[in-house]
Amino acid sequence: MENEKVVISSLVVEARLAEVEAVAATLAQMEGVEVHEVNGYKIVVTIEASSTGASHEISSRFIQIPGVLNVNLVYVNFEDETLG
Amino acid sequence: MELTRRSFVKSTAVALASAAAAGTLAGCSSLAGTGADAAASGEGVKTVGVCRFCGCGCGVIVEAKDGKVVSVTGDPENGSSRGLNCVKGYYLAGALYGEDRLTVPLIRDDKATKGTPDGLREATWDEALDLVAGKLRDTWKADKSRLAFWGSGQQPIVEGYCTAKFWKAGLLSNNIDPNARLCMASAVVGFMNVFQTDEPAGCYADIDETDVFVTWGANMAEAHPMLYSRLTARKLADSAVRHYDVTTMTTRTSASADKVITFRPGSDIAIANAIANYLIVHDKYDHDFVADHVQFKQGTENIGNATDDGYDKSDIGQAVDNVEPITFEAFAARLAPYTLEYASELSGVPVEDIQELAEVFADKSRRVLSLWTMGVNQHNRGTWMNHCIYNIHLLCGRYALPGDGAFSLTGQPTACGTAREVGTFSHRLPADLVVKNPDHRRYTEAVWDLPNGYLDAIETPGYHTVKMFRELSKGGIDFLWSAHNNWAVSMPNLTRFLGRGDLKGINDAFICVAEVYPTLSTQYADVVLPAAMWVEREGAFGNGERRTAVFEKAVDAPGDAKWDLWMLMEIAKRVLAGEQIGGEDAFDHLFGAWYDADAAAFKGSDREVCASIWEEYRTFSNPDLNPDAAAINTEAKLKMEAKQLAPYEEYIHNHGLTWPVREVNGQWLPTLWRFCDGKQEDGFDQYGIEAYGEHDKAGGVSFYKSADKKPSVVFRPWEPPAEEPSDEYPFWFCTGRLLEHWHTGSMTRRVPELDRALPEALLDMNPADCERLGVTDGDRVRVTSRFGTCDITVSTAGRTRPPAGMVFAPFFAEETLVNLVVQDTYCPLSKEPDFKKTCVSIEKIEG
Ligand code: SF4
Repeated sequence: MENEKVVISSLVVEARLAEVEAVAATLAQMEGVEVHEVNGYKIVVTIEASSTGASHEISSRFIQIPGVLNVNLVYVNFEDETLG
Repeated sequence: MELTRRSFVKSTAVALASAAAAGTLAGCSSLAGTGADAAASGEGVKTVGVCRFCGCGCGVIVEAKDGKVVSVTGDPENGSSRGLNCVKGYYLAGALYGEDRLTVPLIRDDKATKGTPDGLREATWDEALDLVAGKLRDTWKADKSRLAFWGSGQQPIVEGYCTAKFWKAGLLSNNIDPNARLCMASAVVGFMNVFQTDEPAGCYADIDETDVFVTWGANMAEAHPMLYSRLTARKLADSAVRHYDVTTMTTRTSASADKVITFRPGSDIAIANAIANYLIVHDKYDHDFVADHVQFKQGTENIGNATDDGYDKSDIGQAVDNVEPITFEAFAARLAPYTLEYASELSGVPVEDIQELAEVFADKSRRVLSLWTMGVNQHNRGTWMNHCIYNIHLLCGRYALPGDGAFSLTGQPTACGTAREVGTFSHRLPADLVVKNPDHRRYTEAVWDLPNGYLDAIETPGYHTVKMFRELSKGGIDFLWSAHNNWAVSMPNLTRFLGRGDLKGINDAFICVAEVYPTLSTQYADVVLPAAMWVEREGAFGNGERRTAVFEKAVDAPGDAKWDLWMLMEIAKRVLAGEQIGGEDAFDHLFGAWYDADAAAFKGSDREVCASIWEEYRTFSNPDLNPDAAAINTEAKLKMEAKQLAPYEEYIHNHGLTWPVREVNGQWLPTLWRFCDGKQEDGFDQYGIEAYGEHDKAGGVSFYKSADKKPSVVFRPWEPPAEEPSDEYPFWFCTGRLLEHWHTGSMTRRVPELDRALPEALLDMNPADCERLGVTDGDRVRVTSRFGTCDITVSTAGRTRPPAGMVFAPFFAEETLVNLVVQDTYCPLSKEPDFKKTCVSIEKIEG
C-alpha cells in the first residue's frame, strides 16, 4: 500500500542468554515485528505499526515474553503522525 | 509513507539499533542528515537533544521537518545513555502535539470559578504580563514575605539561573523553592552533611563495573528505565553479578534480584545500622580507609515529627542540624544495640538475610554499588537514611571507586542541574553557596556585580515548599508564581492545600501558572502563561551523574506560546521599573547583557542568549573569570573551581559533559569518578586532587571538598515513622511513579495511547487483604487517612505487589488524587515530605 500511515521504530531487546533464540522466535511471530539480528543477549527488532500508540502497545508486550529483561528504544519515526 | 521513503526509514532504523547493540548491520544505511543522499531520502534537519522525561538524562537526536519533530534516535554520542532510550521515547513528539496545548495567555476574572475547568478567558501577552507584574510588584512593595515562586527540576538551567537571580538579587526574596524539594532534598542534605558538597562521587558507568547491586527503596525498572537496563545488561554479561533488592514491596525492579529483602516501612535505618554494627563487631571494616578518610559524629536525636506548622521554630526543630564529633569507639558503642536480631525484630527481615547483606559489604573481593531513590528520600528520616547508606560504604571503603560506591538516583531531568547546581532553593545561592554564609554572599555579589553587603538582606532562608503551601492555604501568600510543575496534583496533603473545602487562601492569593497544557494547577490560576516546551527553545539539563547536556531548538512553539525566559524577563522588567542597583537601572544591571528591555527582545539567537547567561553562571565555578570573585575565593578558601564548568559550546560538541570539566592543553575534559585519583583523560579527578587533595591515601581517593578532607560518618538512630498502623488506620499507604506516566501526567497523559496503556490509577493490594475486606479486582474503595480521603479502584494484578498490610497507588492521575490522603509530614532536616508511609483505612464502596 503506497501511502498507508506507518510509524517505524527499532529497539534492542535484551534476554537471558539461554532463552535468546526462543525470545527472538516469539518476537518474530508478532504482527508488525521483524527480528533483524541476534547479537549475544541482544536482539535487534523493528516495529511497523499504524501509530506511536500501537507501536508502544506492541513493544510493551515484549517484557511479558519469558526471558526478556529489557526493552530499549533506539529510533522512532513518526513523520506520518506529526506531519499529518 | 511512500515505499521508497519507507524502505529508507526502515533501513535507518535497523542500522541504528544494530549499532546500539554493537551488531553487524550498522553500516548498511547512510545515517547522515545532510547532503544529496539526505535530500533524496527526504531527511529532515537533525539537532542534538536530551530526553524530556526523567533524571537519567538520555541523549536523543531530534529530526524535524516542515516545523515538526518527525523522529527521535537514541544519541550514541551521549555518554549517559550511549544510544539507548526507554519506551517513553515513543512519546517525545506526542508530548509536544497534544490537542489541548496552551497557545494563548489566559486570565481568570472571577475568582469564584477557581477549582473548575472554566473561568479562564484569552488575553494578550501585554494584558497578562501587566497583570502578573502589577500583582507581584504590589505584593513586593507591601510585604515581601507574602510572595513566592515555586520552580522545578524540569526548568532548564539558564532559566532557573535567571529566576534565582531575579528572586534573590532583584526582589531580595528567598521565597523561592523547587519541586525538587519533594524528591531530592534529603539526598542533598545528606551530601552536604557527609561530604560538604552536593554531588554523587560516582557515575552511571559504575553500573557497568560493579559486582553486586543493592537497591534501597528504589523501583528503577519503572522510574529509571535506562539505568535499570544497564543494570540488567551488567547481570546478563556476567552471571556472577548479584542484585539485592531492599524494599517494602515487590516491584518490577525485584525481577532481576537474586534476593528481595522486604522490610517493614520505616525500619531501613535499623537494617543499615545492623550492617554497620556487624562490620565493626566482626572486624570486617576497612581500617585504612577509615583512618585516612573518616571522621565520626553524632547528632540531635529524638527529633519527633514535622507534622505541625510550629515544628521548624520549636526547640527541637531548631536543633535538628546540630552534630558533635565523637570517637570511633563511641560510634561503635552507639551502634552496639543494633544487633542482627534487633534489626530483624524491627524490620521483619530474617536475621540470615541481614547477615548475608552485611557479608556482601564485608567481602572486598567484589565491588558493591548501592542505588536508591524515593523510598530513602521521601522518608520522615530521609536525611538520616542517606547518612546510614554512606556510613556503611565509608566504613568498608567503598566510595568514589569505579563500580564500588553509593549512588543517589535523581528523578527529574534537571533536578541536579537546575534545582541543586543553580540553587533555586529557599536557602541557597548558585553553585552550593548558601544565603546564611557571609563569604558566600560576598562571592555571589562579586559575580552578580552587586554592591558589597547587598545580599545581606537575604541572609535568612525563605519558605521551603511545604511551608510555602501551608502559608498559601492559610492566607499567608498574596502572590504565587508556579512554573514547570503541577502543585495541585503533586503536593502531599492536598486536602489541606486545596483549602479544606473553603479554598480561602487559594482564592485570595493571586496565582500565576506557566504551563504547556491545562492541569489541575491551572484551574487554580488567576493567569496562565502558555510556555514553549522542550525543543521549542534551546535549553540545558543537568542529570543524575553530574552531566550537563544542551538540547538545541528544533521547532517553533505553537501559536503565541513563549519561552519561559522571555516571560521572566518581561515580568522582571515591569516589576523592577524605576528601581536601581548601584546607581544603575536594576533590570539592565541584572539582565541587560542578554535582554533589551525597550525592544522587549533578546540580544541574539537562543544559542547566543543561552551562551551569554551560561558564561555568567559558569563564573561561579571559574573564579578566574572575575578578579573580585577570585580574590574572595582565595581568601575564604571556597574552592569554587572544584565544580568547574566548561564554556557553553563544549557541551554541544561533546553531547554533554560531566563536571568538573578541566581545561587540559586547550581541551575540556570531564570527570566521571570524582575524588578518585587517576588520569583526567580516563575520567578520574586528577586536577582536583592535584590542586586540593592528597595522593597515596587509602583506596586512591581524596575527599578534598570535605572538612579536614574527611567525610562524616554520623550515627543516626532508628526512630519510628510519623504514624503506625492502628485499628482505625490499619494499612500503610505508599505512593510512587510508574513507567508510562511521568509524575503528574501533565505531559504523558496528553498522549492518548500512553494513557490507554495505563488508563487509571489503581490501588495495588495484597490478595489476603482483599479477601479479608471482601473486595476484588475492579471494586471501588474509599481510602481514608487522618489527612483526607480518596476513592480508587482495587487491583491485585498491578505493577507492584505489596505485602499484606500495605497498599500502593501512583500519583499521576488528577481524577484519582491520592495526595488528598497523603501526610505532609516532612524530614525535619531536609523538609522533604514522606510520601511513602501514611496510615489509611480502606472501605469498599457499595454500589
Ligand atoms: S530513561 Fe528517562 S531520560 Fe531515558 S529515555 Fe526513558 S524517560 Fe527519557
